[in-house]
Amino acid sequence: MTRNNPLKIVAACGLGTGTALFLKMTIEDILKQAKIDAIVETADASIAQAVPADIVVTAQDLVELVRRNPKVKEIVEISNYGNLPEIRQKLLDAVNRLEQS
Amino acid sequence: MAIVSFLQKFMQEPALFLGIIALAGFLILRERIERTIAGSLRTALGLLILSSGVNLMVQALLPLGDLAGKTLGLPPLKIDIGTSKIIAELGTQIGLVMLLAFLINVFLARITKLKYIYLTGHLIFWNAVIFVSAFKYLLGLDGLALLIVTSVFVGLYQTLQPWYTSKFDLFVNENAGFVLGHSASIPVLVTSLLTRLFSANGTKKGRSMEEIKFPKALEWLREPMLMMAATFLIIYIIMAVLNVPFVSEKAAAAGKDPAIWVILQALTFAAGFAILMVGVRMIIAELIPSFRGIAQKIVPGAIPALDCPLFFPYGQVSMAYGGLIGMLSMMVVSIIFAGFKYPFFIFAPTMSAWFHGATAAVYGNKYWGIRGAILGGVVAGALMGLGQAAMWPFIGFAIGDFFSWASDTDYVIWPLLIAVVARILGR
Repeated sequence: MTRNNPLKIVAACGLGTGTALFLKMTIEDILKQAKIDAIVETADASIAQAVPADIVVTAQDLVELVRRNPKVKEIVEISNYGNLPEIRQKLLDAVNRLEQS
Repeated sequence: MAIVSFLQKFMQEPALFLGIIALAGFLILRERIERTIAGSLRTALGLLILSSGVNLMVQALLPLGDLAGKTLGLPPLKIDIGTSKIIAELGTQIGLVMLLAFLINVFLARITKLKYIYLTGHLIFWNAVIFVSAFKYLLGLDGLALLIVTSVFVGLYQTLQPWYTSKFDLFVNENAGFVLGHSASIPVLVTSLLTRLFSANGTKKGRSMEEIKFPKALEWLREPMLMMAATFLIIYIIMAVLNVPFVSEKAAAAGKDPAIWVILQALTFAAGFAILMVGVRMIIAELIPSFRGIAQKIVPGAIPALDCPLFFPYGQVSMAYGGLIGMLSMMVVSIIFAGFKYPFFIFAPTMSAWFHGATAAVYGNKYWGIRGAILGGVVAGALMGLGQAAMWPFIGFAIGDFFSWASDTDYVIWPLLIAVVARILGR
C-alpha cells in the first residue's frame, strides 16, 4: 500500500523539551537520508499518552506509558537516546512494517 | 516618525521581536518557505503561551507563599517584578543573548580544544532569562552593557559547563560521544568527585543500584505534570490545615468551598506548568535545529552537550530512586529553613529537584553503587535548597516565582558569584 500523507512521528521524553527535541533532530536526519517524508513532533510523558501518531519513538523509561495510547500504530523503544545506529535500525524497521500493512 | 515609533513599539514586544529574530534567522539560512513562516509564527505564539502559563502558575503560587509565610510567621512574600514581567520587559535582550551566547560558544569551540556545543534548547532559553536578570538586578547593568556582559558570561558558561563535567559524562556513558549540557552540573560535579574519591576511582563500586527494583506504585512519578500536581497538593494541604482561617478567607473571596479551593489551586499550578512547557517547546523547536545547523557547518568534530535524560539509560533504577531522594531532600531543606524561621520561604520545586537528583544518582551509582546513588540524590536536593536560600535575599524580588518551579542549582549557585562581584564593586 502506498501512502499519500507524510508519516506522523512523535519523539517523546519526560518533559518533552531537551531530549525529545534532540531525538526529533536525529530522526529527521535519518528520514532525510532515507528519503522518507514525515512530520516529526515532540511530546512529554503526558501528551505521548494521548496524541495520535504513526510512530512514537521513546526510551524504556516512558515506553509503558506510551503503550496505553491506542492511537499509536508503532512504538519504537530505544535503549539509548544517543545511539544513532540503533535508532536508525529500529525506526526504519517500523516504517517498513507500516508500509507493508 | 509615526512609522519609527510604531516599529519601536513592535520591537519592544518580546513575542513579536523573537518572531522577527526567528524570521531573520530562517531567511539567512535559506530555509524552505513553509518552515520559515511556520517557525516565525510558532516562536511568537510560543512566547505568548509561555507567559500565560507563568501567569497561571503565579496566581496559584502567591496565595501559597502568603499562606506559608503567615503560618510560619515569616515576612510576606515579596516578588515585585516576577519572571513573566522580566520576560516581557527584557525579551529583546533575552532573545539576543540566546543568539550571541550561542555564537560565542560556537566561536570558542572552533578556535580552542573545547569542542562542546551546548544544544539543550529549553536551557539556552532559561540561561538567558536567569543571567540577564542576575546581571541586571545584582550588578545594575542595562542596555548594551547588559547585553554584552550577559552574552559573554552565558557563552562562556555554555562552553565551560560541558567541559568541567565532560570527564565524568564520558565515564558514565562509556564514551558515547556526547556530554551533559544542563543546569544540574554542580551536583553532578560534586557527586562525581565525591563518589570517585570514595570508590577509589570506581574500583570499589560495591552493589549497584541497578540490581534492585523500583516499586510499580511510584511509576506515575515519571509524569512531571502529575508529580507537580501531587506534591503541590500535599504542601498546600499541610499549610491549609495549619492555618484554616486564612484559607477560608481566601476561598470565600474566590467564592469557593475552602477544600475545593485548595485542590484547584494546586492543580492550577501544575496546569500552568504544562502550558509553560508547551510555550518553551514551541520556541526552541524552531530555534535549536537552526543552531545545530550552524554549529555543524562551523565546528568540525563538535561534541554535543545535551539534556540530562540522555544519561538515564545508564542507570534506570538509580535515576528513579535518585529523583525521589532529590525531591525529599529538597523538602527537608525547606522544612529545616522554616524551622529556623529563615525570613524567606524556601520552595521545594519538585520537578527540578527530581531531574537533578535523578541525574546525580546515575553518576553516583556508576562510581560507588547504591551508596553513590543515594549520595547523588541528597547532594542535588541539598545544593538546590541551600542555593535557593542564599539567592532569595539578592534576587528573590525579581525571579522568586521561578524558584517555586525550577531553582536549578546552576541558577542559584553561579549567580552568587555575580552577587559577590557586586559586593566587591560596592553596587
